[in-house]
Amino acid sequence: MNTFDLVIMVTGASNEDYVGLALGSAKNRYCSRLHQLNDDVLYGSKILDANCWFCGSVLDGKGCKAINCLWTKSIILDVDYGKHGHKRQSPFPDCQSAMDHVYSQTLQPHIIWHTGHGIQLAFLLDENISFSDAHKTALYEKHKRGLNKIFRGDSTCSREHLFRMPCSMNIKPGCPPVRGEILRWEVPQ
Amino acid sequence: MKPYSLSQLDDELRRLIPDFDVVHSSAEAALHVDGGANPPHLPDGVSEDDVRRYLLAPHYRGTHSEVCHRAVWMLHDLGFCNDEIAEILKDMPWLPKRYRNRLSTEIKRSLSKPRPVCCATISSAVPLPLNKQCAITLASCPQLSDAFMRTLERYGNYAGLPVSNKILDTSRVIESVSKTDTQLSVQFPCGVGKSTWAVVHIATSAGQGELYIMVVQNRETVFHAANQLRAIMPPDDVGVYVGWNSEECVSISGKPHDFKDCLRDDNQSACRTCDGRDKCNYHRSRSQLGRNVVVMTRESFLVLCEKGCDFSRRRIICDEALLTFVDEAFSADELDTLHRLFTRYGYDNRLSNLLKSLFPSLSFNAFSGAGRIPDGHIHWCELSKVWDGEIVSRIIRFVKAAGDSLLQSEALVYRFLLYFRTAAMCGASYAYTYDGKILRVKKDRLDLRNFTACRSMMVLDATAALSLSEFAPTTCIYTCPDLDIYAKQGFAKFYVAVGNPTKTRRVKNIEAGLELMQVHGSEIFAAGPVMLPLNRDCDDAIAHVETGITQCASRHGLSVQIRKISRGLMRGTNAMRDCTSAFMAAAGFFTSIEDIALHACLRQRRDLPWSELRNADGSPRMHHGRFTNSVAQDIYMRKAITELYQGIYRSAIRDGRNVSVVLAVPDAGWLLPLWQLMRFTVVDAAHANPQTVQMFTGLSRLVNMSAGATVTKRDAAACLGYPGVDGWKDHKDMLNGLLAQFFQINHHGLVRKELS
Repeated sequence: MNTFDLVIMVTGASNEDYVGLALGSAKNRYCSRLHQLNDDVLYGSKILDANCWFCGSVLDGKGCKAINCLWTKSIILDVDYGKHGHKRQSPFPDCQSAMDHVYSQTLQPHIIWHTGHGIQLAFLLDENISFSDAHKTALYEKHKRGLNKIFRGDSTCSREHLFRMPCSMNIKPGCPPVRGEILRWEVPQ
Repeated sequence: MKPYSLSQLDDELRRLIPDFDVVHSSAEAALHVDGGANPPHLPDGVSEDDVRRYLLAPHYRGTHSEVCHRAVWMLHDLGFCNDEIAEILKDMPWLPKRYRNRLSTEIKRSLSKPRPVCCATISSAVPLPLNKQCAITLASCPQLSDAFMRTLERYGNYAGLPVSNKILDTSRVIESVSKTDTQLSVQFPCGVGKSTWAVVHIATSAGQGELYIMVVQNRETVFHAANQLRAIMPPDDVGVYVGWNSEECVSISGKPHDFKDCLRDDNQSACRTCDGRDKCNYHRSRSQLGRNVVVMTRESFLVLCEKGCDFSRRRIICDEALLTFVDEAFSADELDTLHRLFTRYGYDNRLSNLLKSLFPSLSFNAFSGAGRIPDGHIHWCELSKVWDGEIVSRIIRFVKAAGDSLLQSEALVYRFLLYFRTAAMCGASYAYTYDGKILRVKKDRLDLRNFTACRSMMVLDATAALSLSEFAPTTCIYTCPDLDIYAKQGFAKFYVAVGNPTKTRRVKNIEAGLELMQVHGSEIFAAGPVMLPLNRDCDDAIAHVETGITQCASRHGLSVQIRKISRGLMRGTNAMRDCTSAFMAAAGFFTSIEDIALHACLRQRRDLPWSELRNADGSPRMHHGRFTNSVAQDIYMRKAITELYQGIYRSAIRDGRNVSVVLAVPDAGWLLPLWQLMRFTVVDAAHANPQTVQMFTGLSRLVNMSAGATVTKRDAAACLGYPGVDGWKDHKDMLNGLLAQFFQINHHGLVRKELS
C-alpha cells in the first residue's frame, strides 16, 4: 500500500494512461503518464515533500479540465475537520470525531487517508465510469452527492477535482506543515 | 471489501437518505442531517423513560445552550429523529425559554454544528446495575418451613454453631425470593449467611425430590460444601464434579501425566490402567454427575455448559459471582501454525476455512499464513454461527490422524479447541482484535440473558450491582436493607489520592498516597500490618512504596509490617485478614485498553473502531480522565470498583474491625457505588485543588447522614466545596446528579433517604 498503488486503485489508470497532478500550488496543474509518476515517487524527485494533488479521473493528456477527463473508478470525498487550514467552519472538531462519524456509517470507504487538516475517503467501484456515458455519469455524480451528505463532505462533485496526494506534505500559510498518511486500506485482493 | 457497484450504492443511498432524489448540495445536506432514517438504537435495558429521566438530571456542566446542544447530539446518536428529539426536549426544565417556539429549527442548527467534544451519555456518572434492583423487607417474608428448620438444626449440630437470628433472618429472605423467579440474583452483604442458606435449602429441597447443582468458587470449597451436605442429607445423594488436577493425579498415580493423557472419553486414557482411579475425584466425577445434588466449581459448570450438558431438570445455585468472560491470545506465528495445520488436508473445507470464519477480518494466505496488517476495529462475532459440536469431533479426529507429526503443535491445538468449544445453549459470543502480532480474544462463555437450559438459576453475589454479567431483562437483583445489621463488616476510613488507578499514574498516586500517610500516619499505622496490593510488573514501585511506608511509620515513631499481595490473587484469599490498613494507591486497577475494548465490544454486541477508544498514540481516548465512550467508562469503573472492594474486603474489615485505606479514585462519583457495598468515611484527599478535596470529604459527610436527616441546599453545596448564596444554583445539575441517589431533593432542601 503506497501512494502509487492508491492512485491506480482510485483512477483505474494503467501505465500508459495520463493522470492529473499539481505541485506546490493547485494552479500548477500538469498531466503525467502513470509510469512517470511512479518513477517520480520512487526515484527521488521529492514530489511528496511539497503540496501535491492528484486528479481523481484519468485524463486524455491534453489538459486538466472537465472536458479532458475520461473515466474514474472511485468516488472520492473530502471531509474537513478542525479550524486550521479552512476558510469555512468544518463539520467536525477533530480527526477522531470525523473518523468516528465515518466508522458509524453502514457504507464504508475502501481507503481513507489523512491530509493534515481533513480526511479523504475513496469508495472503489466495480467498473470504470466513463464520462462519455451520460447516464452513468449522472448516476455517479448523484451518488457522490448522496455520499457527501452522509459523510458530511464538502462539495467535491466535479470530475476534475484535485485531491491531496496521500503521504504528501500539507503546507498552508499560518499552519505548521503536516504529512498525510493512509489510515485505512481495505482494497479487494 | 468488494468494490461497490452503482446499483448497490443506489440501493444503499436510497435506504439511508429518504430524500435521496432531491439532494442538491452538501451545504444543504448539512442542514438536513437527521437521525430519523434509523429507529432509535437504545442500549439494552434502557427505555425511552430512562433517557427522559437521565436528561432531567444531566451530569454535566455548561450554559443552557451547551447542555441543549449535547442533549440533541446524544438523542441523535441514540437514533431519535428530529421530531422525536423535539418531543423529548420540550418537557425539559433546563431548556432555554427562547428555544421553545423554535425547537425544531434549533435542533437542525445544533446538528449542523460540530459534534460536542464529550457527548452526554447514559450512565456516564456512576455505574448502574445491569438488571433492576428490588429491595425487600424482612417483614414481608413468610416464616421458614418446619422442614427447613429441622435441616437447619441438623446443620447447626454438624457445624457446632447455634441457630442465630442472623441465619434465620437471612434464610427467611432468600427462601422467600427463591420461590419468585426462575432467574434471580441476591446481593446481600458478605458474612450474613448466604452459603449456609444454600446448603440447608439444597438439603431440604433435595429430600423433596428437587435436583440441584451447587456452584462454588474453587476446588477446596467444593469438597467443603459437599461434606456439609453429606452431613445433613443422605450422603449418596451428593456428588462432586471436579476437573483434572495435576497434584491430585501425581499423588494418586505417581506419574507426571498431562490432562490430555487423562481424557475421560479417550480409549487410550491413562486412567484406564491407573490403579488409583477409584480414589481419583476427577475420574469419579462423571459417575457422580447423575446424583440429586452435584457440587462443582464455576469453571466446571461453564465447561459442562460448553459441552452441552443438560441441566433442564436441575435448579442451579451459584454461591459466587458467575464470571462468564475468558481471555485468550494467539500470536501471529501460532495463527500461522493453526492455519497450516487446518489446511493440511484440503478436502475438509469446514476445517480449512475455520480460522477465516472465526476471524473474518484477518487475511490468511496459503503460503504466508496470517497477514501482519493491524486491524483498526474490534470485532464481535456470535460463536454459534461458526462453531458446533461437529467441528470439535473433526479437530479431535484430525489430531488423532496426525499422530506424532502433530506433537509440537498439540498443546496449541488443544488450547484453541478448549477455548472456542461451545454448545448452542450457551449463546456464546466473542470479540477479537489483532495488532499484526497478537490476536486477543475475549469470549462470553454463557449468555445469561438467554440461558434457559436449567429449571432455575440463583446467583448469590455480594457485588451483584457491579457485575459485568447481565441477566435476562426480567431478572431482579434482590437486596434487603434489614440484613445490613448482620453484616460482619467494620468501618473504613478512606484517604483518597485523586487520580485514575492506572499504571501510568502509579507514580503520582503513590506519591499522593505517601503524602497522606505522612499527615495521618498515627491513625493509619496504629493498629496492625499494612496490606499492599501490587501489580506483577512493578518491581520498581514495590521498593519505592515499601521504603516510603516504612519511613512514614518511623516518622510517627512506629514500626510497620507490610504484607504484599498480588492484584490477581486478591479474590478469595483470607491471608490478609489481620491487616488493619491497606495502601491500594500503588495498584493499577485499570486492566488494559484491549481488555476494556473487548469487553465494550461484547457489551454492545457490535464491531467497534479503535478510534472510539484509543488515540493515535495508543493512549486511552479520555476526556478529563473519563473514556469518551460511555460503555468503556462504565466497564472500567465496574472492574476497578469491584477490585477495590474485593481488595479492601481482604483486610480485617471482614472480621468487623475498623480499617484505614489509602486508595486512588479519579472523582467523587466513584465512591457512591462503593458506599452501597460498605460503610466508610473519607478523612482526607490529596489534590492540588482544595475544592476537589472538599468534594470528597463533603460527599462522605453527606452520604453518612442518618436517614431522615435534612440539610439545606446552600449547606449541601458548601459542604461539597461550592460556598455562597448561589452555590447550589450554579452547580445544580452536577450536584443533583451526585446526590439524587441518596437524597430526596425538593425546593425546601435535601432529605436523606432510607439506607438501601
